[in-house]
Amino acid sequence: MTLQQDRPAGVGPDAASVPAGIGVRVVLIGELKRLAGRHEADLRLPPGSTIQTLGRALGSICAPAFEQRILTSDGDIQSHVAVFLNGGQLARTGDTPTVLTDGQVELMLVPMYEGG
Amino acid sequence: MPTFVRGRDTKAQTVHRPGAPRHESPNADWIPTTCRMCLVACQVLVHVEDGRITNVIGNPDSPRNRGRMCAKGKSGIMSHYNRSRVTHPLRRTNPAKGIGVDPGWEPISWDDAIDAISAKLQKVIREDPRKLYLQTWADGDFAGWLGGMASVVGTPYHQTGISGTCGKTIHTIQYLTAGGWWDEVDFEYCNYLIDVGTQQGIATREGFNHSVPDCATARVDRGMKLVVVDPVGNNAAAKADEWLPIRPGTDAAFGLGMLNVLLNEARIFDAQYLAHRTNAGYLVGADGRYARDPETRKPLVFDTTGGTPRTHDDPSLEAPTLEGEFIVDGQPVKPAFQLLKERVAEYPLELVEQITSIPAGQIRRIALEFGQAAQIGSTITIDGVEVPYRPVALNWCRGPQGHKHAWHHTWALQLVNVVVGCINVPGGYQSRSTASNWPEVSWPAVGPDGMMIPGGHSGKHATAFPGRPATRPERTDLFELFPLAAHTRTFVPEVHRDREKYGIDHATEMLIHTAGNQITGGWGDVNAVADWYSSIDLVVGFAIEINETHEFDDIVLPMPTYIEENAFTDAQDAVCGEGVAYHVIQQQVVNPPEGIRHPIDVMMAVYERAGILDDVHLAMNRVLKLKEPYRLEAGRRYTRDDVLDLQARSMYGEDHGWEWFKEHGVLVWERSVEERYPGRFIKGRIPLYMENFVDRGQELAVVLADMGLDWELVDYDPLPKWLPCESYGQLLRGDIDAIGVHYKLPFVYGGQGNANPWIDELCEKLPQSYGALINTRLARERGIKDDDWIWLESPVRKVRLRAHVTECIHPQVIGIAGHAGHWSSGKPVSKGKGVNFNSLLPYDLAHLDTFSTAIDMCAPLTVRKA
Repeated sequence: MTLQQDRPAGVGPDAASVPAGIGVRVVLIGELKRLAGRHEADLRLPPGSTIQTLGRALGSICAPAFEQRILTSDGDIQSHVAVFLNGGQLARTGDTPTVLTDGQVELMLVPMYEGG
Repeated sequence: MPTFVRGRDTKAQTVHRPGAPRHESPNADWIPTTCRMCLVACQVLVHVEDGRITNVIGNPDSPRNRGRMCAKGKSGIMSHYNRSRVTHPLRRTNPAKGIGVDPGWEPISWDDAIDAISAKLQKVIREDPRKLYLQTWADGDFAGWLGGMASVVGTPYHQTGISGTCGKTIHTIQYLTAGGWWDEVDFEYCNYLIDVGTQQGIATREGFNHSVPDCATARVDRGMKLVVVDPVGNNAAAKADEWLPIRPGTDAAFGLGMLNVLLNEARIFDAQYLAHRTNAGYLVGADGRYARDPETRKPLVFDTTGGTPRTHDDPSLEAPTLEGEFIVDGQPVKPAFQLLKERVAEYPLELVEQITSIPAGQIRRIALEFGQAAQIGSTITIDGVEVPYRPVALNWCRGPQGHKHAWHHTWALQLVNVVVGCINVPGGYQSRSTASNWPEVSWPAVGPDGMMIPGGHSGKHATAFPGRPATRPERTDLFELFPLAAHTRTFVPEVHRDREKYGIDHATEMLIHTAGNQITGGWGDVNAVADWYSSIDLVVGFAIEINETHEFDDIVLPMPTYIEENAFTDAQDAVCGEGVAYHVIQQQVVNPPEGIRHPIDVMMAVYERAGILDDVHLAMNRVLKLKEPYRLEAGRRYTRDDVLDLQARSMYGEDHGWEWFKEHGVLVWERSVEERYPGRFIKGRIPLYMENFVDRGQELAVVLADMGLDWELVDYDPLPKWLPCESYGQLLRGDIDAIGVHYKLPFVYGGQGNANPWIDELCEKLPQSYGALINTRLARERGIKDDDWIWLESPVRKVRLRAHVTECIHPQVIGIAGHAGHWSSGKPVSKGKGVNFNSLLPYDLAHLDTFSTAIDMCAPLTVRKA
């Protein structure tokens, strides 16, 4: 398994059937890859898509374990999963959800602090 | 950019000590670094002369300890010059593993060690990464580098703590109510402090080298009252104005009793704060769930001005009603605050006295004093900014969270702070790292249902809101069955006993751990823990000396002491309420002995041979939050100093790289009043009522039923209540003589202990360090006199130690201190002295909290004269 260097995504295989939007290459790292049953996904998402939009799209194409364990009941990506767009971590908080742009999105479980 | 200052020039309440000059002479220097004798991590100046360490003093430039240091820090010299130190890699030759079994160590080369480890790692990655288990503890950078590898290869098992109780609820509740990681009391303004099961401000907790003098100043200059609620008359109780000996496992009842006085008897609560800053006004139906707007699904409230129910964020809302009963869509509903009042009314003080053994009149008086001292409605102006002023705090930690039903014990206590509005305001209960404007903007924000979601400043920690839907577990720590817990490592040995019962299809085959002592400190019955370690095919441990956990290793790798290594991460901090934040480093003062390598260098070599180093580099860009152009590149190789310099410059700019930090040790900058006291500047409400517990509990019930597991789910209650531990019932029935509890000594706290000869000397001079505290009354009943040898027996172990008969302990309690009871030959100074408290604890489902996974730290004991 090899991580991709940060680079803009190309147009995905299903792009022709989707109106113009943003092109996102999703890279699933580590345990997420195992749960999803895949390492990468090329997605075409509507303009204005957020992390929640991305989560719902992934839920429809990944293995059931991904939806069960990584997504909320609303299809959003659970908060303990870090999301990076072109190498920068997206804020999972805020009054206004972050809008995705063209590029590479990585989903990763970052080390969690537990305590003493 | 902020204004940079020197730590010793800050305006905060300080007790500065003189420092010492850098570059004293060509062959001598005072080098700034971080002490790692415990997790407090104070900044020190280490004197090195001709390559030898000759002194360690506090660094006055650091706001964390302001030039002070403690006895443990001073003794760091002896830990550094440890004569039992491991100096080359070792391999086990005796395949048998067990308590007291000689591993039969033989030296091996670094090449052979790294070959063996990387080969096994490759195998595990290929077959199933979940066979890999990682254990670290307060290891700064190393924890991150192991965690980065875990993220890459796909193992979910990266343990970053040791204790069976730490973090079980304290950090979770911190994030829920205060938005940050560690808590402190704002001693600059506090006038009334209640310490429950903690010695904040006197002997323990993070930052005690500043909190102790600040607490003393508060008491002497302002007459701050200190009340200690603890089974043990410990150091804090000895300094307190009042000590309330409490029966173990009854903290929730104490908190509920205080709340009953405040809310129902005296009606002392911060109504404005509760209405606008919490979910106290949210309407709750008979099913325990919010009444919600049918279109937006937002929780509803009733305004005091009347009319129809509105959403909690309706701009026309003036003040949510906190009390009463209403009808919404034909259904009866009550504000959450009304439900809390009714719940705490179930705990009249006469009942609380029966449960806790604390007289009702004393609880009532303390509650009234606390409520009045809170000065609800008052404000204070700091640097031109007016903020609420609530000079009270109820601080709690280790004691209340070390029980079954840990959530309810600690939540009831925290609600005392919530109802008087003292969180993150001057004088009150503070949370560190809640809000930051520099170098990263990190503030809590608004999450689901208008509730506060913490920012990411202190790193990720699973939270109790909104929690995770339960699913059938795949993890050997059953993380999926604890939807509201932060971490669940305490269940690992339980699952090992019967994986089939829990449906776990893999076992741990490889374990890598740092120098922490998991066997003696991580769980209960050491035989259960040893059984799990013995089953693992390859256990690799980094060590300074061989401890009880290393005796189960297959390969031991020597590591530098903290005086010999560099670290940059996990070091950005602020003292609660103080006007500055800071970043400190740890740096190599002297070279390690020939042949010893830094653990990160070792793991980089392992990663390279296993073919995953490039992927780890890319993952570490995320873990370390490295910005362009400071990111690690695939295909390049870096030294430790290279990475440290990239980290420093990425975080603080070109002017503050690694060389700058090595020279100066600490970077200090001013922060705003809003960052210091963010309480009323945070968007998002904090919970008084945990509505999500209803759904999480019901989801879990379905999964457990499907698995055929009969776990109690009584803890999934949105409101606090008191539930007894096993030992509580045993005590009242007379099945046991006493409940054994562990307590902390300031010189044996949070890390390295009596294996250090100076710390051992302190323990020998204070003989209760290695003995057992027993109340005069219980001693008399058993015919025990002071200094007699006694037997203490629990269901899992029988130990012999000296009795110290005293009034400074609850009559139904035995107190055992510190982290003694070592048996490893690698710790000759501490071997055979005192008792390992954790080894007395039964380890089974009846003694594990099935909500937070805390280990029940009540040891059920019989007591006999030996």
